[in-house]
Amino acid sequence: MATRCSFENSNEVGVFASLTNAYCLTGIGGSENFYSIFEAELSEHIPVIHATIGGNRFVGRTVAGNRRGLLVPNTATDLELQHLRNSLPDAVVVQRIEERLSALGNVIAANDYVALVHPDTDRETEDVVADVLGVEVFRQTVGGHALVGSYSKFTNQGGMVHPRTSLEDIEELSSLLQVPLVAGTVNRGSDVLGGGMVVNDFAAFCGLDTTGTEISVIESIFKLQTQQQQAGQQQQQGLVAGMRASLIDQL
Amino acid sequence: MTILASSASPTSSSGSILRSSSSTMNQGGGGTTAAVARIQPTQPVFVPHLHHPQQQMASYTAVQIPCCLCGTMIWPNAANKCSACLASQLDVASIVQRGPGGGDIVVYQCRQCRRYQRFDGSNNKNASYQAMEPESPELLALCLKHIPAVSTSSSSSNNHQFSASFSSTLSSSSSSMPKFHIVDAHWIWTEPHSMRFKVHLTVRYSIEQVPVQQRVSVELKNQWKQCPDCNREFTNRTWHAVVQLRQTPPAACSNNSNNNNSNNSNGGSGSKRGLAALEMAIAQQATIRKHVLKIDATKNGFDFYFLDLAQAQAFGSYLQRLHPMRAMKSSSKLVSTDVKNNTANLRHTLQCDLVPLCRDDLVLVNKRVMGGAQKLAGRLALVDKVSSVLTLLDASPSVVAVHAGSSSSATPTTTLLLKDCIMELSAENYYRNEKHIRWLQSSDRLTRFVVLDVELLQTTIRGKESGIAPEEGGVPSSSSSSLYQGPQSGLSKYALAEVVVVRESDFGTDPNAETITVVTHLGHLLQAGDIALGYDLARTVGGDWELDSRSLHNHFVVPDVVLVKKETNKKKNKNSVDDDDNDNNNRQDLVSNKKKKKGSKHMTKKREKRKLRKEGKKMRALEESAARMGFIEGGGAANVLPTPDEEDDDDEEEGDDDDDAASKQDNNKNNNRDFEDELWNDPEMAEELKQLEQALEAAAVGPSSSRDKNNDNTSASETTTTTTTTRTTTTRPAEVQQPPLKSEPETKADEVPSDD
Repeated sequence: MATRCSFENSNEVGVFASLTNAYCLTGIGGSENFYSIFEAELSEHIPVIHATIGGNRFVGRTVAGNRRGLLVPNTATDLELQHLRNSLPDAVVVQRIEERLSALGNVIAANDYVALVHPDTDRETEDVVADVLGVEVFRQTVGGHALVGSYSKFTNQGGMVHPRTSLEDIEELSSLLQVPLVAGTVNRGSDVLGGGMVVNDFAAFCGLDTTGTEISVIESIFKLQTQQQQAGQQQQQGLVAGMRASLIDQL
Repeated sequence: MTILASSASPTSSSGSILRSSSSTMNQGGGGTTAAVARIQPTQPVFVPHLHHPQQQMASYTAVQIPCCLCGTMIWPNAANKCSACLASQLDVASIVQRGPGGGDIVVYQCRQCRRYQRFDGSNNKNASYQAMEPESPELLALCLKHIPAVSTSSSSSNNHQFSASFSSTLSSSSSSMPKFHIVDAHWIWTEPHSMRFKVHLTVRYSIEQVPVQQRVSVELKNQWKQCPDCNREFTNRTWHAVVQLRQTPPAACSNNSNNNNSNNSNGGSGSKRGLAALEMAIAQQATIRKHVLKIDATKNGFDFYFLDLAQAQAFGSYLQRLHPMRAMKSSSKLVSTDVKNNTANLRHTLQCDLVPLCRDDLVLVNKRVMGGAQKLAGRLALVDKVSSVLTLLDASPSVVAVHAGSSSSATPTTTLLLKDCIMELSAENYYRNEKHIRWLQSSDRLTRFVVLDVELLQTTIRGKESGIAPEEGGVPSSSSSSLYQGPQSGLSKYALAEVVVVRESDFGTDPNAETITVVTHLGHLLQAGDIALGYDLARTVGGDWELDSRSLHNHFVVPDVVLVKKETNKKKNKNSVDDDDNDNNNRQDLVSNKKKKKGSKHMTKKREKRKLRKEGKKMRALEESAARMGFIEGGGAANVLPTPDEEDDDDEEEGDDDDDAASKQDNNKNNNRDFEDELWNDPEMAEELKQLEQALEAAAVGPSSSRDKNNDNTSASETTTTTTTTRTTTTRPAEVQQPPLKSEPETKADEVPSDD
């Protein structure tokens, strides 16, 4: 179910929040509106946690994680790290890494099985990611953009890349990630998907500017619709009809 | 494993965009009825980030995405919206339709002359009007200039006005007005009387960094407005300045009131030449009279009406350059005032008085004249040329006068320079000395004289001061001037000479006719036997000219005759209609282009004489050779006389055929006159004639008196260059020589002139 929300009048939800299947982090805002939206949706399933990283509230772009772990940059203070360790469930491993590219949310895109990292990250970071998150790591760009966390967003169900990605790239990525991919936009035609929305397997949050068309694309690719909606939409559009076909693994 | 992002194939996408946009377009589509926006290009190819070296070489196929607003599959662009959605964000039609100041766009046309006012930015006061066809490219360009949204040149004030009104209607996303570029424009037909123009524009602009092209139609209103030219035509009393050009006849030469009247009447005819010359100059140049509203002719000149004083002054100064005139006097008359605005409506008058003298006028220069006219002070002068300056020639140049007048020469010389006799007066000089230069006679009082003898005066031998000055005799040579004066023949127009003339009326009739010796400037033009025109001062009736010392120098001798010009033959032939003889001779002249036997007494006399001499020489040479060869039995010296006899007979016969008795008499008279001239010129001939006469009397054989006379005549003409010794045996050799020479007289008959 895709929900529209805004953080203090900004449509860039993915900047201020980080959402996985096991937890949700939100930045600290002036009012609790943003937090309460997440709380309303998610609190019965997963913990929703206030956090800052290095005193900054753009936690969505500085941390990266999945249900097994969370990686924080070296800018996170000890106090914040401690707070995260306390708040998160024990199954989630919190690890601080030393990395030159410290905006881990931009640099790493991961679901529970596979991760893409910026091609310029260190070898140790790649090892840590593989270790902490328990995923297979690929160094890859997304349609020419190196900031994989910004220009793509994928979960265990599906994924979305920015609109200028070529067909060959999408195919390649899709085979790597083993999820269906689609090129789309969010927040009324914005290319930056990672900053514009947060998604997990059962929920999605995007900015207030997101149009209905974009919402429908998001819901269909990330499989957030109910059966009813799915049936209805299937009739209307052949947009993602090709993705209904079973995955054929061609390597 | 190809997982396609979209189902639609790339090639048909462009078509599908248009179709689907028209079907699904629902935002703002009502305003732009025919607006179909297109985003270019159709098949984008992405330039990859050259980040990963492995990815550089791969080929890239673009994928389509749904437009974020309407869901149609589009190629991605900077806004990721379809063209229709992008275009709908901006109401182009209302922006383009807006005129300056927010109202309608208006194109002005003059109701009278149907010309359109040209666009000149903000200030419409001095706009020009131009004739244009309806639905023409010029009119289209004019309409496009009127549309502020697409106009290229715009003053800042216009822009502010326009953008202020524009930004209020803009959607929130784009805050600055996009710049519209015209791709195409063409007419949509409108009913001519609807006073509306419809232009269909294709404009290109960029919104959210995406270029969009859109078609929109603009309607312009056509309003009436009177153009300034028609305005001027319509109002009465439009002229504000007048140039009054006058040339009054020159004042009388004497103070005598009795003579004034007669002299005035005489002066009237010659004084209009300046006006005629100016009239021709103005008629030829259309640019000069561009601003003249009206021309009136008065008794002594013209009035030119202008719209304002500047135009009148320009015209007046142009006239000043052409003909010497008094300094323009300007006066104005008050028509009305506006006290509140402190303005006045005036009418200006410029008075231009031309110098009353014209060419070939005789003037008297008072000895008290000052300044540049010193050269000819106290003398009679002839007006040589009236152009931008007035040129006077001394009427009777004399040596004494020269070095009396010229202050520069310290040592007395006996040379007479032509340049001392010519004086140029500019208009201001003339008017400064106006009362000292008195007009005496004009060229309609010229009388005819026959030139008997011309003798060039010896001018300075040194250098170029003799008569080898270029063009006008006496003007300093090219060494002093740096301007190129053109090729010079080495022979000047004027040269001083002493000429002996006799009045034509006296010539021939009165054996005691007085011959007058004149010093004149026409030395190069006159030859003995020419007809010259001049003023006969001795016989002129009318007034004293103050010949006392009051105006003329003491040493100035008033000449009896002042020669002005030579009479040319062309005019004579054209003017003479009464004489059959002349007509015949004209025809013959045209046909044969040679000398005539009778008739026009003055037709190439010199040429005839020269030719006669040449022929005579030839004849004599032939005869001599014939005699040597033994063809002629008579032997001895060849005689000239017989041939004249033969010619004479032939001449007389032909002459009788052609002419009337009256003209024959005329011819005889002419012959006499010519003969007398010849006698005058050639004393040797006179001697020979005397001998002839004696011989004839002695011989006393046959020939009649007339024949004698003719003999004498022809022989006289023949013997001018003869070298024969004896003339005694005249007739017999003539008859003997007749046969062999028969051909010759016939041929000669054509050539022998009838000047005898």
